[in-house]
Amino acid sequence: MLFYEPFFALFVAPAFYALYLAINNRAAAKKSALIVASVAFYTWGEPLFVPIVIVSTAVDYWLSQRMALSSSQTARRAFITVGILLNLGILVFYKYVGFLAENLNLLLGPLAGTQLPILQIALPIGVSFVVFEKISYLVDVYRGTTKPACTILDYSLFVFLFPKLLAGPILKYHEMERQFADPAKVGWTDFQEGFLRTARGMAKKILLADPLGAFADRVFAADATTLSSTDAAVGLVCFALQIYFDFSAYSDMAIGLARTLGFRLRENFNMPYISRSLTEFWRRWHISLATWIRDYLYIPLGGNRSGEYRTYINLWICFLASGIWHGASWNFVLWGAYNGLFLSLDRMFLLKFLDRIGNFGATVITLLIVTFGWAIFRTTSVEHLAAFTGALAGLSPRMVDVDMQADVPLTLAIGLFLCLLPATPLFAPLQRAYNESRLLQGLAALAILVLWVLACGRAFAVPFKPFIYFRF
Amino acid sequence: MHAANLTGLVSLRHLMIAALLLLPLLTLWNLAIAAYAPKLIVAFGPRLRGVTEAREPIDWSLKALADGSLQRAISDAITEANPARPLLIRFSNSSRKRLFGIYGAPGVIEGADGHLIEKPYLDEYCSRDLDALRERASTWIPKLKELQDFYEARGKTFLYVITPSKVAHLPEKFISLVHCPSREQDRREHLPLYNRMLTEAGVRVLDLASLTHGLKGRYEVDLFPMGGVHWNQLGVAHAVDRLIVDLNRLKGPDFARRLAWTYEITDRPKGEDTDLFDLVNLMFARPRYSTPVVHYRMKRPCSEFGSASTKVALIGGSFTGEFGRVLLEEGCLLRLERYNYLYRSFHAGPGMKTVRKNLKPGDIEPVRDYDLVILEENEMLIGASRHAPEFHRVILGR
Repeated sequence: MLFYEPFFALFVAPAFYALYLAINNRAAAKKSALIVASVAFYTWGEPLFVPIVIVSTAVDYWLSQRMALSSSQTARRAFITVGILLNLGILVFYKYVGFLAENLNLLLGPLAGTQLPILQIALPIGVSFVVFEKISYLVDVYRGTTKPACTILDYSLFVFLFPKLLAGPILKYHEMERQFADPAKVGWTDFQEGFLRTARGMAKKILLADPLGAFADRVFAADATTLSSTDAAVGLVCFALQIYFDFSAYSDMAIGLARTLGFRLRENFNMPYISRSLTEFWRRWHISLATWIRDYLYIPLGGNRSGEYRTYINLWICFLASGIWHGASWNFVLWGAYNGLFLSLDRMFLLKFLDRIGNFGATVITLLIVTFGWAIFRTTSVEHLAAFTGALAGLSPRMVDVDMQADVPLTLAIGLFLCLLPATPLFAPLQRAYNESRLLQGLAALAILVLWVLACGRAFAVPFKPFIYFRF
Repeated sequence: MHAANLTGLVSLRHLMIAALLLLPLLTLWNLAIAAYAPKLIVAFGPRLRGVTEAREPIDWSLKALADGSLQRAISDAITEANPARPLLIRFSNSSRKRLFGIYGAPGVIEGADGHLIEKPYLDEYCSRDLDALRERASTWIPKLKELQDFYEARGKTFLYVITPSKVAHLPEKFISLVHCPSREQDRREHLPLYNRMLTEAGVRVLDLASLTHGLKGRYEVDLFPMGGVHWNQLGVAHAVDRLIVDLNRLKGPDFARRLAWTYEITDRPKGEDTDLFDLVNLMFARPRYSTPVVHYRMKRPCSEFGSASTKVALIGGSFTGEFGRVLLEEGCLLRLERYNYLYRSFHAGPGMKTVRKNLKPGDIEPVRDYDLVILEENEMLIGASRHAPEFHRVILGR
């Protein structure tokens, strides 16, 4: 069940919200309602995976209680190790077993003379987010950053809360503890701001990300050796915008829905395409993952406290982990390494250089680095990446045009405008005017409302494929 | 206004709860009532036009739950029952048309002067190739001959009819829209070659496509409507009359009633003249273009004609709808039965109302004994339609 589907947006969400408002004064009832709704929501999409998450949540809770009660550091270390291994085990089993087996077969097959079976395991949606959040809880309790959840219901709510369940933002337990222990009463402002945020997300996803994604899909599905450099470049830019609008839209919907329920989640994106270096980009892009990696991997590895070379190694480890977190493929590993490389270069000299050349040049160079990174991310194999890079450079031997839907050029222009406007001098006065004018705020809200209606219409219209007769 | 408003002021909270529940409750009402009293379905805005793929009944098994098909089926059913769906789809379609010039129905595109067409017609016209036609026809024509021989051996009449394509009639409105690689000669010679091959094989054919194309420019309006894919009432009138001429030649001069008509031009098209326009499901849009309305002026009663008591089967596609009705009501083929795409629906009686849907081969077998059988194919699907070869298979059992 996706937030922008009419089934959710115009049936499940309003019905549940009516119930939630009816029990707005009763925190315990709201918690129970949220847990039931969240488990039902996840069961709807992943009926076979939910029992595993429920059991694993109970195990986490038990381990955290034991950790809190234990005075022995060895025992605490054993509990946290078991907890992390169990959670990583879930992730590895569902996400990486096939990839590992394929690569082990390639590596050892000729020597061993036998092949490991490649298990066809369906990847449960949201597994990477759920596992990282659960690990954050265990580590927070281990470090003493937070006490264990008072009840298993509080912890279950942290794990299952449906707005963030499928695609984040990745919550850290210590940041959310109080909100889950005592869910706030929902006010009119919560509803208004939450709804507008959700509506904005739906509009971004359906009206911008999807049409751009449709063209990007065609370009990346085409034989890269036949692509013209223009098609390859436009397809890549479409993908860069698609991934931003798609992912940030989902974060908007998650943050907005949570807000309507009285929860405040941290921001996950902050105008990433105006960044003036890759280091800045990673402070603005998927913030919850970047900060999770910083808090739970980079800092434990020593961060930048153990000398220059160790810092580079730590950066590479973190970005390789980030790459492989996105998916089980060598392209993601390569993408992680690519980011690690540029972050290391930033520390060596690139940041200083980008500072010297001014904002415009720095933003353009950063955009180029990030956009080529998306080519690594989006291509399906290293061979595909090589051919696609050749196409970008105009080296394709044959040229075949990729059909562009009529809605792509205008959507692309709007997408670029929205992404890059904050980098222009126009943005600050516009933002000031907006903050100071209730009329502008009202007009913006009205515009979002109209766009939401359009997005709902589009969500209904896409699967509606009428024809006159059963003709052909 | 903060938390107090939704918690303290009971009336506002209740109002909001009621507003939130409105759409889900109306959706559930629509779901519950759809099968028993479809007239009571609540919908905002005009109903949506066009056929969609029939939905499978919901499978309530655990297996369906595990693979997600149960959830998808429930989600689809609830989505379709949403009363806001027609209005929102029309709003979305109109916005996309205005912003991007894209229509909401798959494959519908706009040519010059606002003429609409479905892309497969354009694709066929732009890929015409005489060699490919020869190859296809050489497989198909012997089957047509077998059908004709079968009926003639029983003392019955079989007639093969070709209906026109809008793109072939008005290519200038469309071929600039797409890459159109077919050669001018291949497009022009398509029907003449097929007719020659049919005649050489001894198949009796009535080429209503060439007849219609030959009438181009004779009237102040085209013979295809701007917002429709099928021939208009004038096109139908000419085609039916020409068929009656042929039938009278075959079965006697007073077999069927010749047509006489007058026509007027209206700018309020309806029915088949707006089929594509309706399909794109726009909001607040009324079709406004010139189209002829034909008034038939026949004097002799049907009882004077042999066709009134002759069992006739008309097997064909969408072009046989209005064509069949005029043939029955004005041409006096009173016992004409129409098999729409062979199995899809069965029509008979005044107005050619739908009698049954989703026919089986067993429903077609009695057509073996009909006195007159008319098999239609559109020129865009010569030898490639589904209904014609299937009719051959059912009738001849091979």
